Parts: sequence; structure tokens; C-alpha cells
Amino acid sequence: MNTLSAKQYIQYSRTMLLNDIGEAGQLAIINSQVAIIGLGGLGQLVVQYLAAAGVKQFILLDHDVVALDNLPRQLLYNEADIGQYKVTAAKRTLRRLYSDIYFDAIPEMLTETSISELSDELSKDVLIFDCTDNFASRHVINQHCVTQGLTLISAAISAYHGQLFCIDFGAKITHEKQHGCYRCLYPLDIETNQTCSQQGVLGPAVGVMASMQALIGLQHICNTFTQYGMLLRFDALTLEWHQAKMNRDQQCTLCQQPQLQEYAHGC
Amino acid sequence: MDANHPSQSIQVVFNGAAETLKGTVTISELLILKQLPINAIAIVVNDEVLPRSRWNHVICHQYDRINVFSAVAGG
Ligand SMILES: [Zn+2]
Repeated sequence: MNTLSAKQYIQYSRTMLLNDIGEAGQLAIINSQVAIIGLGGLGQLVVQYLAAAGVKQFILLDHDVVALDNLPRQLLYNEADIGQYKVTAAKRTLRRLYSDIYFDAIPEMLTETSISELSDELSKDVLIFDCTDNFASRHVINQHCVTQGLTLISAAISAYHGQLFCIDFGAKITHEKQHGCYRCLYPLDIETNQTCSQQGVLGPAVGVMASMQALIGLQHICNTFTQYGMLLRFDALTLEWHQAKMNRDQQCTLCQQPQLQEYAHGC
Repeated sequence: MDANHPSQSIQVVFNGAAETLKGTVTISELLILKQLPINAIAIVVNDEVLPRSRWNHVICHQYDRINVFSAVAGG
């Protein structure tokens, strides 16, 4: 799409009033493609915000079904959706609200095999949101994004502790930009029993992290985002945010992109 | 000079609280001191993530701000 309709001018006027976004930014949002992996507490809100903002092409991936104990934080679903695939319920509800959106709803478990089968769809120009609930999936997504040079927006929360970052693996890497990857932050043997189901979590705390993911996503699409490679941590008890620059682990065997090797030889 | 004299002590801020460390202490040694599980945490020193392969090699310095936090994966 190259121009906005009269209705879209009105519909997205508050977004376009931001000087650095304007009509060009709104068109970028409308023409963007995003993949949301995990349609639980994080993903169900990310998809709502992005659809409302004007994103028209979604890949939704989750093998999980809606359960009663999801409803306090997963506001996209209701009791009638219980037992149905989350991606199916999300697609059905959102299609009612936005008839011109294309959803590819994939009710599959994320594995190295399934992600490689999807590599045509999860390719360049698709913005990846990691909204999953376990380390294994997060490592699979990270590996795919690093090797394909995609942009990854990752969030997680357990109990009162939220974490979030965005790395553009397609960007040229400089000395200052050696953010590494998810594996540099949490190596493959990382372990914890802190998942939502085991730790408990407050719905709005999940919403804070999901809103930040959607915010970063829109900024990335509109070219206004600057905080790549910054790990943001949110304490939902004290309401404090902490920032830390991410760094590549020199022993990470995954994110040794050619650019990095060139850099290492150049020194 | 990286190493402190064994009898010297330094002040660091560990997870927001002032802490006195005696002698030369690496990040790994600090984690042992604090009985923290290395496979379940990440470390930020002075607002930068310190990757795990560096923990054995990096020494705590005077006034370092060291934050240790659990890895979380929930969503
Ligand atoms: Zn890495």
C-alpha cells in the first residue's frame, strides 16, 4: 500500500501526529509483517495492539489451548474459547474487529524442525516477537533470528520480574553494537522453574511487558527505535525499571556472524 | 593494577546494598560467596551484562555496581 484511505487518515491520525512517524510511519506499519510466537499473556496483547495500530499481516504460532486459568491475564479470550487453540480463537476474534487483516494461525509446537519448515514465512522483513513461556522455545527462536538476520523482540515475566530486549540481527555490527544474542545472555544450560504456571503472576504485570514489546515493535517499524541491545528489567513489585547494555559472549558459538569475524580479524 | 592486596577491602554495591569485599574477589567467587546458582542467573556490572564466560576472569573493583538476577522465561 502506498497511500492511506480517507478513513485510515482519521483512524490513525493520533499515531501520525507524532512528527517522527507521520504518514510514512503509518504506511510502514500497514505494510509490515509480524510473527508472534506464543499467544499466551504476552502474545495475546501484542497482537491486539499491533492489529489496532494497523499491522495487516500476522503469523501466529502456538500449540496451546485456552484454559480457564488463562482468562485473568489473557483478555483476548473468554470462557467460550476454552479448549480451543489460542491461535484459532485469536484469529476469529480479531477478524471480527479487523476484516482486512491476514492471519496465518499455526497451532503447532515450536521446535527446531517446525521453525525450519516455516523458514520461508519467518524470513527477512518479518518482525519476530518472542512471547513464549520456556527457555527451549526462546533458544530456538533466537537461533532462527540470528541465522536468518531477523529482528527479535523478546519479553518474559515470572512472578514480579519482567525482562525485555530487542536485537536487530540484520544490522551491521560494529564494536559498540556487539550485543550478542539470547544465548550470550542465557547459555543453553540455563535453568529455572520460574514459569508463569509455577510462579504465579499478576495480569497487568504481564500487560506491561507485552505493551513494551508492542511499543518497541511499532518504533522499530517506524525507524524511531534506538535502544537495540538494551536489556530492560521491570520489578512489578517496586515498579522500578533497570537498563543494562547487552554484550556478546566471546564463547557463544551461535552469533559469530561474518561481520563479527571480520571485526575480530581486523583487530 | 587489577588485584587488591589480600588485606585490602573494597566497597561494592551488590543488588542495591553496600557490601565490603576483602582482597581480590572474582565475580565467580562472589557468586560462590553468595551461594547463587550459576545456571539460573545473569549478571550486570556497572549497567552492562557480563557474559558467563567472563565471570572467572573479572575482578570486583571499588564502587562496582553488581546486579545478579534470575533468568525468567514465562509469558
Ligand atoms: Zn550469542
